Amino acid sequence: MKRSYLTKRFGLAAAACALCVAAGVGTTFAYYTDATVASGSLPYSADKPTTEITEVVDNAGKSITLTNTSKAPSVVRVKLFFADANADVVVYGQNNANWGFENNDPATGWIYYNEVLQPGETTSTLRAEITAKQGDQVLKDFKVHVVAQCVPVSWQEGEDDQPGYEIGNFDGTIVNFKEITGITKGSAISGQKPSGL
Amino acid sequence: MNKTHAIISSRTMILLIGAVLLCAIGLTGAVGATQAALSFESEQYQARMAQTHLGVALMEQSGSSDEAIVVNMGDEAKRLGFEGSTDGKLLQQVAGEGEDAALLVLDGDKQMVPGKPYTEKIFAKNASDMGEYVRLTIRKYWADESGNKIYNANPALIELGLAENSGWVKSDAESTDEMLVFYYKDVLDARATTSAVIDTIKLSPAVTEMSDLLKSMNKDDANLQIVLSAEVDAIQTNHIVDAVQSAWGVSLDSINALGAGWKDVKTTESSSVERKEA
Repeated sequence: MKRSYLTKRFGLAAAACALCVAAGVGTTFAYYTDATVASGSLPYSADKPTTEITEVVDNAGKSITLTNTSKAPSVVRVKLFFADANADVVVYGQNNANWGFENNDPATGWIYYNEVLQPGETTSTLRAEITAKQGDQVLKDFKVHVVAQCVPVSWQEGEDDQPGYEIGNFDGTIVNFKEITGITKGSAISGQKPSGL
Repeated sequence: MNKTHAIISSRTMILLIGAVLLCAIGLTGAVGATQAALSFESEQYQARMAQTHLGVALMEQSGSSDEAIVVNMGDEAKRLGFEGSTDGKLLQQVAGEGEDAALLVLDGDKQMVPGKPYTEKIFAKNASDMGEYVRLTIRKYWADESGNKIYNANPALIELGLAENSGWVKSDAESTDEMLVFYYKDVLDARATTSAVIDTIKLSPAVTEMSDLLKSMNKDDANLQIVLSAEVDAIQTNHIVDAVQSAWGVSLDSINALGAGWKDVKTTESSSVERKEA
């Protein structure tokens, strides 16, 4: 009798302990957390710059403008190709100071526009005064070719804690185009025979 | 002569009827019984335990703006009286949307000039009344004009300038070219703001390769979007070992190996006892 009495009680106690342990299995705990998100975007056109040259020819020469026909801002420059034996050519910014030579030196022949040309924008006018030379060797008909180049606007880090600046990288020729001084008085340029034209 | 005795005498009957009446009255409660019992009442004690939820907000300062603003926060922050936007928009520092807002962020440039750094600072702010540990995840990627992610485009072309001595440590193990994960080194006290985790955004000069990539994908439209998103997570400071493992799946040792100083913080300032005399 006594043995069955104790056995029954021990059995109940063991069962109660087992139930308590089982209740702790699979318990989950919650911790205090919080989260916040934000997002945004900036537009960017990966389009390669392209330009269109517009020439208005008259008896004294031609008026040249460039239009950015791409969706990317660009830096532009032009060069005039002609035979020195045929004509004298003088260039200047017509009613503007936007066109000029790097380091004010016309030797390279490239004439830079000193502002970023935004998509759809047209430059101010570059005027080329063309005076035909006289003589038996001078051709009656000759051409003055206009060639334009455009590249994406790039950035040059400043040296020694100096601020950076925008540049045009023309096949390795780095030009700080915003420092270009505009030609307001006629500057004579030398013609060059165009290669590949 | 036989005497007949009543089964119940009249006196007994009267007593019985009286008893029944009294029982009925008692049952209906017409006559209330009172009972006195011994009782004792102790003095009243009150214990207040302030319980609050964690809250964290994102802040941004970009372009030519002089100050950082809240770009998103949760309900707890609003309850505590924090002011700021809840639209969750980055790179739109001032009122306005689309191209106009981008112009202001880019200091007047129509689009990012490759190689040129633009100011873009992101902060976390504790928008609650208790200290917390925070983690910041920043994602950057390319999308087309409709906002669809371009998986082939290299996110490394979008460069983020990490702020120096910022109080944040970067987890290289969890970071990729597209996603950067940072942990704030110390406890972010209640209502405090971290230092900026990044301070600039710029495009690599090699971004010109994007036009070739788009051609190879036969995409005629070269109009893209540079997408930036940020997520800040906050977690309690006590039981931090279990909390960070359970909530984030990260071990505390791995976070401290980066140079952070996270440890279990016991919180005792949230309870007080008031005595009210009886």
